[in-house]
Amino acid sequence: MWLPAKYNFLLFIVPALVYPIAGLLVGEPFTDPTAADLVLLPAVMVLTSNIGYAFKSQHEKSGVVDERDTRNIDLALTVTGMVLLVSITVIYIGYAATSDIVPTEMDYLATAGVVTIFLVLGGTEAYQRL
Amino acid sequence: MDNNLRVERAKADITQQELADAVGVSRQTIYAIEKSKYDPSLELAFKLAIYFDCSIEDLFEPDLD
Repeated sequence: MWLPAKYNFLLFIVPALVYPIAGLLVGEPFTDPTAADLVLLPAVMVLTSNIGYAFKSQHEKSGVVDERDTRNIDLALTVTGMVLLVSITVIYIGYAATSDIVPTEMDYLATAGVVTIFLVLGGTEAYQRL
Repeated sequence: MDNNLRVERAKADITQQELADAVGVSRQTIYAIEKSKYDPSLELAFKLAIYFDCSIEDLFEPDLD
């Protein structure tokens, strides 16, 4: 039995995001991570965690994954989404206050955030009404 | 939400782990419910009620204030 998709998503995405800033946290200068850095470590994390969970599932009656953990993850992802959207807005305000041009990547992030909100809201509304 | 899970579990003389195994969740989830730190889903509430052969209202008391 493998870990649920939501766990695998987090196990991949969190190390991938932490890796580029890990050096900064210990006082080292920032270095651009390679694509391998961003994929290899998270992939190893996902693989070893799934193997560990599969082993544990075979030897224990009750698993470590249940609805409480899933709900906690949902809450964490919801708060993360809100923080990111507020951060994007603050960054836009910062650019608006200066004469700097907003990087294209910021526009992509903001678009992805807004589109995701409407897709999720629209999808759930449609599912519940139809 | 208040609940009588701990009382019902004591009456049934089973451990948190045994109840957790019976309803398919972790022991930590049973602990969290008993401490009123986590409100279970409707599905889990039904499983608990079925396990103790009682109604959901016998197990859980909502705060309606």
